[in-house]
Parts: sequence; structure tokens; C-alpha cells
Amino acid sequence: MPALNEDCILDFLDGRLAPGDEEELLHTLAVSPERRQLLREHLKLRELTSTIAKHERFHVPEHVTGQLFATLGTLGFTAPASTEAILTNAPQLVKQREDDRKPVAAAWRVRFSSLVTACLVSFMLGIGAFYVFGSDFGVRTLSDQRNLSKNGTRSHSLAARSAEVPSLHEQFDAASAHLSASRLNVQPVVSLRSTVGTFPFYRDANPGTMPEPVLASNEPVLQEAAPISCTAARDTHLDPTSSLPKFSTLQVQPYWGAALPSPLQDQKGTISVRFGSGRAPGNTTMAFSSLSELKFTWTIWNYIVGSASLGQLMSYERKAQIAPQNGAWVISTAPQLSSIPVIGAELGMTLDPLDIPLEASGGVMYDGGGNRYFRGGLFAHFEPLAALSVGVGIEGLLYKHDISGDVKNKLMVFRDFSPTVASGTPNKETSGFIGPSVEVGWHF
Amino acid sequence: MLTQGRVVSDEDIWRSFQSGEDAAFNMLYARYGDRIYGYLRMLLTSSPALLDDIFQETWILVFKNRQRFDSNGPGSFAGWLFKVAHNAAISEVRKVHHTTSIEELTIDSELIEGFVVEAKQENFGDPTTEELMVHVVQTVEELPLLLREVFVLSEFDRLTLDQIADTLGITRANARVRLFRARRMIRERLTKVLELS
Repeated sequence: MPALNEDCILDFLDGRLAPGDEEELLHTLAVSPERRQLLREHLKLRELTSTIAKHERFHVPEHVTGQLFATLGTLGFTAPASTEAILTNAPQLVKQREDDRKPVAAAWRVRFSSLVTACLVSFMLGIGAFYVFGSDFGVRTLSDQRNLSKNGTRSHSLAARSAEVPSLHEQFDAASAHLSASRLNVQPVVSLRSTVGTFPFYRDANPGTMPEPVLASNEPVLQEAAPISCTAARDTHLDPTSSLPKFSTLQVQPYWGAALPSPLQDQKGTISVRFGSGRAPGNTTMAFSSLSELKFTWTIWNYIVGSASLGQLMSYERKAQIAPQNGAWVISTAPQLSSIPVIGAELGMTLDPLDIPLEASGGVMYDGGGNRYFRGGLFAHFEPLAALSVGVGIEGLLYKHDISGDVKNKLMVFRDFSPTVASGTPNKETSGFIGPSVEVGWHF
Repeated sequence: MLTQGRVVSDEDIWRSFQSGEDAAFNMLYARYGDRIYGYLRMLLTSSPALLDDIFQETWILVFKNRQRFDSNGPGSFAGWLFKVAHNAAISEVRKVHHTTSIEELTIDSELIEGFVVEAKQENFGDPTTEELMVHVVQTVEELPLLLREVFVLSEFDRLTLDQIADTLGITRANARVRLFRARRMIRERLTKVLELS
């Protein structure tokens, strides 16, 4: 079976023969001069084809290359390539690197930073959805709190504190007893615990009204006693400015402190879109960079606001370019527009509680690739409609852009052309913008 | 970014081309222009007048299909490039020979036998290495197309069996069988020459 043996010889030369078959083939070769001659012929043939592959290359005729790039020029080919530029400094044969051919699963190219970015974006969208749609799911939103606050009830922050102090019933009973004994001279014959289910000052109820107490059937009713209600007299006694000393022994000061009017009472959130545009100082391009973003803003504490944003930065950055000049390849730089998705957070100080519609803020943005973009702004706000806020101001976003990395990259990629770097090429630049900005938002 | 000292792969250069750097196309052309030209020359022995046109058409197709080849995918750029060249060449061969399918270009066993018998009747003198190389090239050019292209891709362009199979759109086993037949035919044709060498 000569064909089979020849097949085995070729597989053996290719390194594809199984160890067991290899042993058998070597034995056959040892005892068969014809097979050894076959092996020699294939070895010689391989040597010849290898020599041809290395030295006897076919070269593309120059006029063919010229015609090809002339045609490509009509198709939008922008590299200013002449035939000389293409063929000069370019090796005719470049050895392929085998390990670069190993396939890499696309999924592994999703970097950790991308996952972090996705998580943060999801978190922001989730918070936004909570504030906008929370009431639909039975969750009290800030809008609800605000409405209740306008109607004379306390904010949710105060309600949260009530859990840390003695019960409302106990304190109201104690306060009533104290007041009755000292000023009103009225015997508290009816237990408020049983007649008044809740203390209206601390709980959400209809504003300005107090339900008539419902007496339990087994308790005595005094005809001469006035119905117990949360009337003006009681409110007067609970005036924090006048009554505070009297309640010092009742350990109720935390309530009064928290009950003082505060910007916290007016807590609100804003969802807005902002657009800013301008040039970075020192940037050589005349074109404007810009930032468009979607923001969620909350009052964190009194005059301090925080915001999280998701945006698109369109920034002019110097990028390395390679082109033939005087027969050699030269790397230079030129401004190019980069589209960079960014997320960020800001802290700001607002003077809204003082009825001064100014806000200054500063923060940092992140692009998911390890780059940070520092920003700051000064805005004036006005509200043409109840829930609509319009802000105008000046904003800046600046960052250092590393040009040298891009140049090195080009030097690597095009090193077969032995390129040189143009003199005066900067290593770094300040990119971004400082310029006017407009923000339109909706309070919720 | 590429690290210093790393070998720049074709895929790196292709990504640069995809991102808008047209000079990267020059780079790839410098790497593969001659190889593709040689491959097409071997493929189009029966229609040498078409060589320049098909060569240009190949590179124009590569330029137009900038986004077609996925440099992050499992296939190599070289395999894809040769596939584009192969398809362009086969398309022209079909037109010239008025065939309707690639199956009509399959190997005729009688032709192969006749080829071998005829080859055995040839007689060579004592050849030098350069003459041997000329003989090899001539023999390769006379191979049936479907054997020739596999042989050229394997021996001259150093593509693996998997890359050849991917380039030609055939199975790996089929590529292996074709390569074996091509090698055997060339050896049989050049037996006397090789013996003399």
C-alpha cells in the first residue's frame, strides 16, 4: 500500500502522525529502500518549496500598485500614499506571529471597569426610577413628603427620629399633665392614650384639623370638661419659642430642635439635562468641546446638594497621525473629536434656602477606562413654572490627555515603515472645556 | 495601547485601519501585496491577463469591507485576505471557463492519471538548484486548480490546514486530502529530477 505509506510519510513530516503509527512507519523505512527514497524525495521537495517561498517572491508591478491606489483614492482613501511611499521602507516579507492568531473570546474583552460602569449606571437609573415611580409601588417618594410638609406635617426625617425617643403617647400625656397642673388648672380625667389614637403634631393627618376624641364606653364623661382637641390653646403652649424652658425636664428638646424650619424641610430632588460647551485653555483647536448629560440631584444636608450624572463628552484631543513626507513616514498630531461616555458625581453648595438662586458645584467624572475628568461650575437658577427649573452658568471640565501614548502606539504599529516623530510634538495637553452651560430640570 | 517590544500583528494593524487610519492599509498592503500577487499568479495560470485586475479587485474589496472582518474573532486576517483573493479569482475563472459551479472544477481522475503518465515520460538533465526551483514552479502551475491553490497556500504562504480550509470554504479533512494529492503529483512528476539532484 504505497499510497498509504506516502500519506504516513507526509503526516510524519508535518508532525501530525500518531506515536503508534510513527513507530510503524520508522520500522517500514528501516526495512524498505523504496520508502526511504520516497522520504528523501519529499524532503527535497520541501526544501525546494521552502526556498521558493523565501526567495522567489513575486513582486507586484509598480504600475499595478499605482493604479490600485488611484482607484482607492476615488473611493475615499485618505492616506496620501505614493507608490514610493508604500514600497519604500516596507519589508517585502514580514513573518507572521503565530501566537497573535490565537482566538480570544470577545466576552473576555469586557473589562472590569466596564462592569463597574454598568453597575453605577444601573444604580443611578434605579434611584431615579424610585423617586419618579416609587409611589406607584407603594413607596413614599420625596414628592409625597413634600406635599405633606406643605400641609403642616413633618418630614420623614423627623418621623424616623421618633423611634429613638419615648413614645408620643407618653410624652403627650406627660406634657398635658404638666400644663394642666401648672396653667390650665384642668384635671386630666380622660386618658389621651385611649381617646386620641395619635398625636396629630407628629403624624400625618388632615392639615389644620384635629379629630374629636372618641371616648371609650367604659370611661366616665365629665359634662363640665371641655372636649379635648388640638386647639389653638394647646398649640400656643407647644410653641417652641415660649414653651421650650417648661419642657426642658421632659426630654423633648430634640423634637423642637428638629421642628425648627430648615432647608431640610424643603428637601427635593431634580432630574435635569445639562449642556455645556467651550474650549480648554491652551488647546490649539478653534472648535468647541461639549458635554451633554442627564443628572439626578438631591439636597443632602441644608445647603449641600449632591448629584450623579450620565453624559457624553465630545472633546477635541490631539491624536497621532502618520503620513509620508519627502519619501519618509512622519508621525505628527492634530486635533480630532473624541466621543467619550462618562459618569460622574458632584457636590455643590446652594443658596436656595436663603432665596439666593445660586449654586456652585465641583466633582469628577469617569469614563470606565481609568480616566478621570475634573469639573466645576457656577449656576444661577430660576423657576419659570412650579416644577420646572432652568439654570444658566459657567462650567468647566478639564483633564490631561496623554499624547505620547498615542504616538508610541503609532510608532509600534507602523514600525515596518520606520516612521519618525515630527519635531515639536507635545507629550501631554489639557483638554476639555470651559464655557457657558444651560440646565433644564424638573423637581420631583 | 501596544506595549514596547511586542510584535505588531495583522489584527492590530487592521483595528487601526478600522478606526480610520488609512495608512494602516498601506501597512497591510506592504505585508501582503506580494504574497497575494504570487498566490493569484499561481491560481490564474490559465488566465494571466486577469491577474492584475483581480489583484486590484481583491484589495478594493478589502478596502470597501473595512468593517466586515472582525479582528477580535477567531479567524486570522491572513486567512480572510486570502479568502477574498480566492473568491475573486474563482469568480473570474468561472466566467472565463463558462462554468456554473465550483464542482465543475473538481479533479478529473483521468486527467490526473494522464498528467502523471505524461510526467513520467519527461526527461531531465542534471539540474542545478535554480533549475529545480523553476521545475517545481512550473509543475505547481500545471496542477489542477483545486490542488494547486491548496498547495500554494500551504507551501508558499505557510497557512495551516485550518486556515486553508477556512480560506477555501472546505473541511479540514478535504484540505488535507487535496494537499496530499498535490504533493504526491508533484513528487511523481519530478521523480527523475529529484533522483538526479
